[in-house]
Amino acid sequence: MARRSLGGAAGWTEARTWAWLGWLAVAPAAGCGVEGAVSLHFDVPDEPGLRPTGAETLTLVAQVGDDAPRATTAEIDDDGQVDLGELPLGDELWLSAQMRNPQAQLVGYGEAGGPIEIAAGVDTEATIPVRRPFVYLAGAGARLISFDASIGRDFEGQVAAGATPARLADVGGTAVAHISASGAVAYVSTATHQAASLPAVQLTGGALDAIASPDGAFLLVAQGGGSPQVAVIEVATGAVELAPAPGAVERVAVTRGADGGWWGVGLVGRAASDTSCGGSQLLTFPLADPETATVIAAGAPVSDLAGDARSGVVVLADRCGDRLLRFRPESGAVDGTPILAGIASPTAVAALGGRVWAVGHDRLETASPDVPDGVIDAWLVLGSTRLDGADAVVTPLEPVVERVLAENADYPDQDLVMDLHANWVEAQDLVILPGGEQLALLLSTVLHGDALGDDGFGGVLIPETDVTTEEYWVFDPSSAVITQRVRTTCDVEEGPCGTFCLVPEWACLPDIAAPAAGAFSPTGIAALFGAR
Amino acid sequence: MTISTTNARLAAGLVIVLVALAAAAAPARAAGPDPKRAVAVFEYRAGSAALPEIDGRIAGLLRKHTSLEIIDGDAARKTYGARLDADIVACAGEADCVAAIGAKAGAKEVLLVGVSEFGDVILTLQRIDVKRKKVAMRIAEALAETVEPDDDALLGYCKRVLPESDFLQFGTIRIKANLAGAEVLLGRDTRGQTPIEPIKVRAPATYDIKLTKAGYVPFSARVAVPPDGEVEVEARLTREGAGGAWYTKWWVAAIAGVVVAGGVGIGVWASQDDPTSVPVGGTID
Repeated sequence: MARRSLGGAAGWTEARTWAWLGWLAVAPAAGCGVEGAVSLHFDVPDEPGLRPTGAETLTLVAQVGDDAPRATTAEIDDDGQVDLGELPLGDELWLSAQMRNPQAQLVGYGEAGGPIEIAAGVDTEATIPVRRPFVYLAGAGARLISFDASIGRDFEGQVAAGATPARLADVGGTAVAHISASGAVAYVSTATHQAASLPAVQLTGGALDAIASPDGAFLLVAQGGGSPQVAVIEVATGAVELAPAPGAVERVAVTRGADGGWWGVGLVGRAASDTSCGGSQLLTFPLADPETATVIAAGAPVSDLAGDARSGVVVLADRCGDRLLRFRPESGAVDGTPILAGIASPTAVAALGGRVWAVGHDRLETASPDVPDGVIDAWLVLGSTRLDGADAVVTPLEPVVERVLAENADYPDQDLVMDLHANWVEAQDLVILPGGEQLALLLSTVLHGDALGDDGFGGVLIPETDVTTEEYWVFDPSSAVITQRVRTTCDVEEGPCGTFCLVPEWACLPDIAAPAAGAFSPTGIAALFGAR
Repeated sequence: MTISTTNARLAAGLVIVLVALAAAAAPARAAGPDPKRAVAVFEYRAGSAALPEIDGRIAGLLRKHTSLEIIDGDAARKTYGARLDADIVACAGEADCVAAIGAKAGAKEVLLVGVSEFGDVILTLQRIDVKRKKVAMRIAEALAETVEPDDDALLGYCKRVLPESDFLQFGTIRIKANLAGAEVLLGRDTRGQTPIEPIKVRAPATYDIKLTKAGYVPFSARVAVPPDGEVEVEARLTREGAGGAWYTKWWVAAIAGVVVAGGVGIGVWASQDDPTSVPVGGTID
């Protein structure tokens, strides 16, 4: 990626002298005035529907080690050229790019595939793939749907996936891996939304979860059933190695070790409910040698885990302990001191750039006879903290209320509706969109309406109503404002109604957007350049 | 110091190359923004009391390290009026609005220093072109609440948002000698023979000057050149073994002959420190 014009085995002084002379030789032609330069190629798709549009500025974010990132923003000229000032010299510089429109919306995002080296007297070239901030959802009916997180629902695309995708993973921003329930692994190019020229793989057994290493070199597929393991796929070649597990692996995460190698962590014995409070197990393995996987007792009922790409930390969501814990796969040690406490029943967690977000849930119960089901409200709880436990914040979101519409009371000037307060709401999955400005969430809700009225013959006037929904949200964690909300399913079941029943049938109010491709249950989510 | 014939030829060749390139590169540099243009430094806060007086500190650093005409908040209020701060707040960071205020304050550019908080303290610097009413460059830095950036850090931010050429300050060394044909060395670089034109150098910096001529005692002096200043060196070379009065010795002349004068010094970039950064550009395709 980097092109060194001069160098070699010369001593420091000699090398600098030759570099200087080399620069003198090219300076008049280039019209520049200093030694060395960095030329970045921001690779955007040719396909108009996939190409970031309306970008006015480009922000280059550079980070060296654990230093604070440096952001430089400049206007994009009519020829697509941008002058980004200066970059510091360094051995390992991580670069990312953000394109924004005049309203400061993120319309394109990209990251270099790995760190680059910048040295004085050296011309360095690097390519950064830049894509729209797409979130992909997979589900039944061969659905692979893309949402542009920056522009509301103006761009919802159906991507041809071939087999029915069940799980998804972002592969370095340039491809999306989709894995079917039967273990067929294939890739879609994010530049074309067509099949990518990466080798397909057929795994033995289905997929319960999937994630790629941040550099896109490896895809990890968590499996259960007759094949309790994590399959580690080398994306470029399709070579598969297996990390055997003592039971079904329901979640998987990846992080970077101190030696620069990637480590995988699988979750066995996931806490699937708020009362499943037995201890979980963690399967840890270096991606370079998955067969050496070891199993460690987590010491807590873990519902989800997330790896921070650079720090080597995996965050565990302790569902019954209402807290987040840290785990380092290299040392095999779970730190018992929580980095976030007081987040009720966390079920989804994601980490990016040294910060972690988690979503739990809570509800208000009552013994009042006026509330036969005993639940007044249910809501999600959002938590966030740095990986060292600093800046910890826990924020309850608004209680979930679903409005249902009476179907047989269709008057031109009047509607009959009921507001049902949720009995249960639970985050199913969470991804951090690039830059950490927004979160995308899959959640499910259960709502119940009690029967009302007496028709005088032992029946009721309004039947009891059970509603289940599944939704996709994009929201700003700093303000908890939801910027996109798509209700992917909404099912209503009514109980028996009396002889003189007033409104026997109810339907979900179409006030929340539904997928253009029709209702479906999401089973997988991935965000380009995002983190889970 | 003894210079072998080969090295002397190499050195002479380098001088020719350097001179030729300086001439070739000069037009490109001249096309950059005026290094003495008026830049207003305004502060804009969004509910944060962090980094007090940050605009004043930045204005002071720019006065010290550039040749720009800096218009700070106090100076701008004299021309714009007492509504300056309220109007900047009302602009809410919009470039065209801030540019209009900058124009009334007599600035060619506005450096808008923004302070906000989002967990961390967010410090943003926007360089707004008053004529084009657009943001030419913008950076954002996330700082821990307890961290107050020192002057080096602030200057580093400024260097990322302002053109590099703004931080190239120059001075002039004017050398007068009592004889012609003496070779003039500035540091290790040969700069010609006396009589010699004024030499433009990076400033502030300290330079070793040496004049040599066969048969004469070399003249040496060390001078500190201030930005936009002019240092005059009067060198008197005496014949070897000539003896003479104490006041004819070179070191007396060196001490007595250095005169620092105010003045304007803009010229060729004659020396360069080790770089800590390189320029970066990109193409979207």
